[in-house]
Formats: sequence, C-alpha cells, structure tokens
Amino acid sequence: MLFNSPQFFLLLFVTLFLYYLPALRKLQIYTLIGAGFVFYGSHKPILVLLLLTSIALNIITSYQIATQKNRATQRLYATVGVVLNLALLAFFKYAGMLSLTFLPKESPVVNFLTSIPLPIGISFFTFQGISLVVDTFKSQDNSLFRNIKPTSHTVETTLFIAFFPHAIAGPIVKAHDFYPQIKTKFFREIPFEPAFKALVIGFFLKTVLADNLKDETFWISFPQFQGLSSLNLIFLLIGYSSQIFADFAGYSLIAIGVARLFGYELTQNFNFPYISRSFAEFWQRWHISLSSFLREYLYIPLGGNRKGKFRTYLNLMIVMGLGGLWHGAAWSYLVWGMFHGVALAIERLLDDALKVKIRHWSLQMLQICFVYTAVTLAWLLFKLPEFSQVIAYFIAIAHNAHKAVDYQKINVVVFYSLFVLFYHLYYLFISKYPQSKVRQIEPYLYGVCLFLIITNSGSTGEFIYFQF
Amino acid sequence: MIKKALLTTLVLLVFYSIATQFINKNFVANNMNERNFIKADQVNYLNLEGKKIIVGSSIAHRLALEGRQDFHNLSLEGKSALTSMEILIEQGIKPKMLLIETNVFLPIDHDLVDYSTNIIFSNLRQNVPILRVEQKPSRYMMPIMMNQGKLGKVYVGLNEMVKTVFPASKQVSQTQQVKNTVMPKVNLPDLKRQLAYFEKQGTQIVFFDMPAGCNEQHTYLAKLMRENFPHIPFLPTANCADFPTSDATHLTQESAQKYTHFWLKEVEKIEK
Repeated sequence: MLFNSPQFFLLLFVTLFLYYLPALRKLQIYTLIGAGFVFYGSHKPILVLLLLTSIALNIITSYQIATQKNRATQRLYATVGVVLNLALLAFFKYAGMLSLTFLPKESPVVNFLTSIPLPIGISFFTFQGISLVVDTFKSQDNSLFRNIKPTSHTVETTLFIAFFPHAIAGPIVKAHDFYPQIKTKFFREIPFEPAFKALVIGFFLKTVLADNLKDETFWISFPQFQGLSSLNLIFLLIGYSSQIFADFAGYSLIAIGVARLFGYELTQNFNFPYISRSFAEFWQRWHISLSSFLREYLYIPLGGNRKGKFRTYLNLMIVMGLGGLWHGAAWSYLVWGMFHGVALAIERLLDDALKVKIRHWSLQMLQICFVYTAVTLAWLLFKLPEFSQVIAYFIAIAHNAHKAVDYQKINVVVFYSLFVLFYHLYYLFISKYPQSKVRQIEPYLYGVCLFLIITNSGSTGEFIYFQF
Repeated sequence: MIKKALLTTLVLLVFYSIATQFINKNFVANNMNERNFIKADQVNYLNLEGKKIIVGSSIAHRLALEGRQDFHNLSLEGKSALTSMEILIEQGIKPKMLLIETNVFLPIDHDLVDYSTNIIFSNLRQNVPILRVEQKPSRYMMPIMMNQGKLGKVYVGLNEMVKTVFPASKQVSQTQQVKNTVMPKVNLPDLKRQLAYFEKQGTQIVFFDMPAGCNEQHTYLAKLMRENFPHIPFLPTANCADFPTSDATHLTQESAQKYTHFWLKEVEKIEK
C-alpha cells in the first residue's frame, strides 16, 4: 500500500475516525497496531508473520533486559537481541548475495537463498528493534518505559515497531524518542498546521517531482542509456539526484505528517541536504535518522574519534561501508558507502591539517557545487544494479558527445529539478531572513503545491527506499 | 493558513479549468509514459466501438495513421499488445478488427490497466478534464520553456562545452549491435484468454510483425504465433532491410510512412 494510493487514504481516514472516537479512546494503541498490520500485510500478507517474529523477539529480549537485576545477564540478553535482529536481516537480505559470491551458482543452496523474497521494510524495523534492545540496556533505571508490566510492554513495543507511518521506510525512530510519546491522544491536540505543511510538501515532492522525474530517469538503465548523448546522460544524473531526494524526503515528510495526525512526532529525516558544504554536513542533513542511528549505535561504540586519528578514519570507513550495505544487498552499495567513507576521512584529514575556515560566499558556493556533484555521481551506484554498468555509463558520457541531443528529456529534468533548487534556495533565504515578508506568501505557495498535486502528479511509482 | 492554501488551490483549479478551454491542446506529451497514460485514458471517452484497433508496443506506435478515422492505434510504448488488449477487455470494447503486433509480448502492466479501468477515477477524469494526464500543466510549460529560445541556446552552448571536453567522441557499442541469443517468453495462457474473448465478440483478429531491425527475437515470436494460432491470419512480413530504423528497432519517420502504406494495402486485402 503506497502513501499515494486510494487504499492508503481509506485506511488513514478509517483509522483516524476510530482512533479519536471517544468510545474507543482506551483502545487507541490497538487501533494503530491493527492499522499497522493491515498496512504492512497489504504488500504480502504472509510477511506479517516476519514482522510478528521481529516484534516478539524484541519484546522478549527487551523485557528480560529491563527486569533482570544482574548486569551481566542484561548484557547477555542485549547481545542475544542484537544478534537475532541482525541474523533476521542477514538471512532475508544478504544470504542471497553472499551465497552468490562465495558458492557455485548452480548450487541448490544458492537457488534456495536467492529465491527468498526481500521483505519490505525489514532494514527499517530491524534497526528499530536494535534501538529498543540497546536503549533498554542503556537505561538502567527503566526510565524508557512508563511501566514494565508484560502486557503493556508487549502492546507498546508492538506499536513501536508496527506504527504504520514509519513501518516500511522510516524515519528510523529510536526507542528513547518514541516510548515517552505513547499516551492517550485527543483530537483537539492535533497540530493541524504542521501536519498539513508536512503532508502537502511531502506529497508534492513525491507525486509531482519524483514520480514525473522517474519517467525520464528510467533511461538510466542498461543498455538503454548507451543510445543517449553525453549531455542527456549528464542531465539524467541531475534528474536522478533530484528524484531520489524528492522521493525519500517526500516519503519521510508524509510519514511525519501522518504521525502528527495521530499525535506522534517523528524524527526529521531531511534538512535540505543539497546545500551541504562538506560530506560531513551532507550526512547531517540526508537521511538523518539513519546517520544518527549509525553514529549512536555503531560509530561511538566502535570508539568514534576517541582512539586516535587512524581509528577515527577506519571507523568512518566501517560505518559508511556498513551503512551503504544496509541500503541493499549488492556490492555496489558497499562501494557507494565506502566512497562516502573515504570522502569523509579525506575531508577530516584536510580539516585537521589545514584548519582553514572558508567565509567568502563564492568559495562556499563552490564547496556546495563540489559536494553536490560528487554526491550526484555516486547516486549512479544506487540506480544501476551492477558496477560494470556504472563504468559503462561514464564511458558513454565520454564517448557520446556527438550524438543527437534529445532536448525534451533535458527540459523535463530541468523543469522538475528547478523546484528542488527553489526548495533549497527558499530555505537558505528564510534561514537568513526569518522575519522576511516573503513568509506571508507561504500559504499561497502551499495552495499552488496542492493544485499541482491534483493536476500534475506523475504516474504512481513505488518509493525508491521501499527496496531497502 | 490552511484555509488560505485551500482557497488558493480552489481558485487555481477553477481558473485552470476555464483557461484550458482556450489553450491549444496539440502539445506533445513529455515522455512515453505520459503518452501511454493518455492512450489508456482515452479509451474511456473516445468511441472505439466498431473501429479497427491496433494493439502492440512502441514498434507499432510508429504507424503513420494520421487522418484515418477508421483506425485507432492503442500501441503502448514499453508495453505490448497484451496490456492494450487487457484494457479493451476490461472496458468491454468490441472492435471491428483487432490488429495485433507480434514483435514484442511483454507481460500485462496491471497498473496501467487499473489506471484506465478504475471506475471512480476514470469517471472523475471523464467529467473533470483537468485531472487527465493530457491536461497536466507541465505539458503546456515545456514547449513554452523550449520556444523561448534562450533556454534552447543555453542547452546548445552546454552541448558544445561537452563536445569540447570529450573531443575524441565515438559511439559505444549499442543495444542493436548485441546479438540476441535468448528468446523471449510469452504468457500464452493470457494471450489465448484474450484472443478467445475477442473471437467470441465477433472481432476479426489479424497478426502482423513490423520490420524492426531484422531482430531474431521478432522472427521467433512471429513463428510462435503462427504455430500456436494457425487459424488467425498474418499480414505478409515486409523485408526488414527495406525499412531503415533510427535505433535498430523503431522505424524512422520516412520508413514508418512507407511501411504504413504497405501495411494499409495488406489490411484492406484481408478485411472481411
């Protein structure tokens, strides 16, 4: 069930109605859990069993951690919890890729492992499970939970993992952010304006920008791209960069908006990433919930930057490499992660060595362009499934300069990418002049966005991050 | 704030509904996906009963049938006859003649079929034209952007820059030069079901294969159709070498016109 499908709107309205019905107020959590299972099960009902397995293992391990007195036993349960979560992820997501790499292709084991379908959202709900187990272990006084009775813990943990706005593609919510919000909600407390803003911008980014760009970036597929001119290939990359941002930022904003309607506040996931002047800043602005998860639960436990320069660089590479692999079961994702890891390490090395602060706006713009270009080139590893195809794409750019240019394709990319550019520029302007009178036109801009959602949406396409 | 935004939307919708009545509607779609959606949607409000309908892929989409009111080309780019026929079946349309291109038989695109046949949304689009893909505001914006000249000049300038950066330009090997060794699979049960439906309706069914770069896969599929459906007539196959393509698959504009001329003559011969 996609956020932009009629079925989703039906589910949303029915759930909202039941959720705020005074007679059913005591059953609010159950209403949300029920909606979560309907939402998740609509993709493949059988996979609800997997979601239930993940929920069960996290309920048991977190409950044991919270109720055991002995720290060593708590540590044991925490380890078991994390390992089981990772095992679930490894089996369903990476077993096929690893078997293809290390076993003969004709082997029956390979046939079996590669035939396992990738359960939608597994990367997201597994990470939430890990967050629960680790946060419970860290909060020794059980301050994470209102009470730790078996029934309430079961219900609350089920909601935490199956909460439908973020169940499939995030934002990855950490236990310590979510559990304190679980309480009775009232209709009068709905933050309508922030919810409306998030929903309008979210749907605009997804349906108007990403879904229209998708029909052009479709050409970034092998061998179709080989027939296009260099200029077309370059603009298609820009288009994909805009599309992936609009798609995922759009999804995250819709998730945030829907959660607000139910009285929950999810973590902000995107903060205008394409104005980043460094790779470090980019990762503070792109998929914030994942980068903060990796920082909190992987980079810092690995030692972060506390164990010398070499370990810092190594930790960055490990974290980014694994972060890359989290996105998909293909070695190209690892390469993508390592690319960012190397960029972060070099950047830190230069920062440490030069200690120069760039203040002139023209140089700052140059920094933004450099980071944007590097990030955009690296997205090709996301779009093309094989590394050899990525190389072929760059070869095609170098060799197809004299082919006839399809200006209409470029026009579409430019047209929709300009909205992404304007979105970022508007943010920069408002950050610099928060009291500007320009803000008075915001309601009308939202009106225009809504008009375009109704009249100019592209054909419905799955969210790119669903595959992760 | 919400009220102002909603009011703005409402005003824009009303204004746009009125404005589109006066705007030239002959703008082309932005891409093949839009063209497919427009074609799938038109089935709802064009009267196709008793027409000769062509179903197929982007290869048959090239047929130059402008001005022939007795034909309707429902060939869908990137799809195949299976999707076009499914739309016709779901809409309950009975064509006089169904001309099926056999070059490609990709599986049915159910999303496109659902888009065309969903009762609520297709009715909504029928009654509120601004909700149709063919009336997307971007369709009007793109040609305006291009025709302003300045942007076109920027693109040409950029292209010159790219040529300077990559002067030793040579074409990399392309799709058409790859030899097809794997033959495509066809969902024969789907095809049989669809053909049985149209035969029951009394529609005259005809197969044809377009000259499309002398592709072995196309010859294989034509043979497969002849073997599985020997009772269905097949238009004579044209010599592919006589009809140049732009990309080893799709006819050039001149070839398309030349082939359409040949094709129409053959259809007339076979017509009951």
